[in-house]
Amino acid sequence: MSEGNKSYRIHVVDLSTCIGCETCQEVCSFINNDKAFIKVYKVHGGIPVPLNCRHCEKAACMEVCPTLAIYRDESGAVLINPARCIGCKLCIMACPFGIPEMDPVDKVVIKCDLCSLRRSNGLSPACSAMCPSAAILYGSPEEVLKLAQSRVAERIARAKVLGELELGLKSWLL
Amino acid sequence: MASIGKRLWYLKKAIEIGTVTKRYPFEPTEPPEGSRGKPVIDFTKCIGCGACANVCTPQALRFIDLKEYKRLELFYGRCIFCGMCQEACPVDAIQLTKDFELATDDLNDLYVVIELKSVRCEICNKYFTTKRIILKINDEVRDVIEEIEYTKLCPECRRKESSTKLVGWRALG
Repeated sequence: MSEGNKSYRIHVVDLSTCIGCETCQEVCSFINNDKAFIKVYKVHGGIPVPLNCRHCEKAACMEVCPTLAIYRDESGAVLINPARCIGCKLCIMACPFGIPEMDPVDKVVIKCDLCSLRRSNGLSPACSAMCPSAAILYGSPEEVLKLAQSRVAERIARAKVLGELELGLKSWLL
Repeated sequence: MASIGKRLWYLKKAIEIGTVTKRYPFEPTEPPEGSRGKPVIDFTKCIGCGACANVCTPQALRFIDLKEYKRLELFYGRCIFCGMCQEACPVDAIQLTKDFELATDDLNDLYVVIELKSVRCEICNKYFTTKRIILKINDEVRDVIEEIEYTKLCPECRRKESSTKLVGWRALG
């Protein structure tokens, strides 16, 4: 469905650039009433992984929802219509990443909607806009791919330079 | 004088039509089409999701987490026959009947309790959902996702596991 759809956008987290500052988590909880939908997990003893809804191409939550409350908008994001949600928590149990959460007040399931309100005003999601190290990218697949390629090229070039120096440095910065 | 003629006309009409009222408590009566009575839960279909308890306005349906079991408690004394639970039930386990006569001399007759077995997370060993939900998810998700081993984990452990895996994939290439 990504081909031929001009409004299709992707959300990419560059794990090698992420510094684990948790700015995305804070800004997400700030705009979503103290509920962060992107959370930074420290794995393998400290590698930061900002985890939010993956907006899967084949979404298990969409498949199991009995009331068809979960749908995909024109930019490819998976959203929940709170008016249709009955709070059966089947999507929570179906999600391979354990992303959807129950709102204890409204008794509906809530999750990352890639800031649909901000996107309708022509802005990018808050996490990608605020990330200080530009680790969270949001845009059309071509744009993001170009950026990712340039980053990889830069990294390879740096590694080559370091390899050629062969100075026996104790401290390297890549 | 016309009133005598009128009265006779009424008398004739009454004899023609006969008795229309029923001796209700002593004679059984059929409620009209579309009338709503007490809801009945089919415990063979119920998966224990708690959606009915979420929508129940008078809180006649209550969903209680007893760790090893999830208990769904229906108290007919509070039920207002609104039919919200029937609308909400994702597996059509709740159906409204036409039975509205709930008078009883024992309060316990008005309770319906369903207890469903919970499953444990394989990593953190906490009870997180009912076994029937996991079976249903396994059934439905199989078309979309090939590996369904993750359904044995609780959502919090799934997050940790998947973030660990994401880093692993990156390290590989």
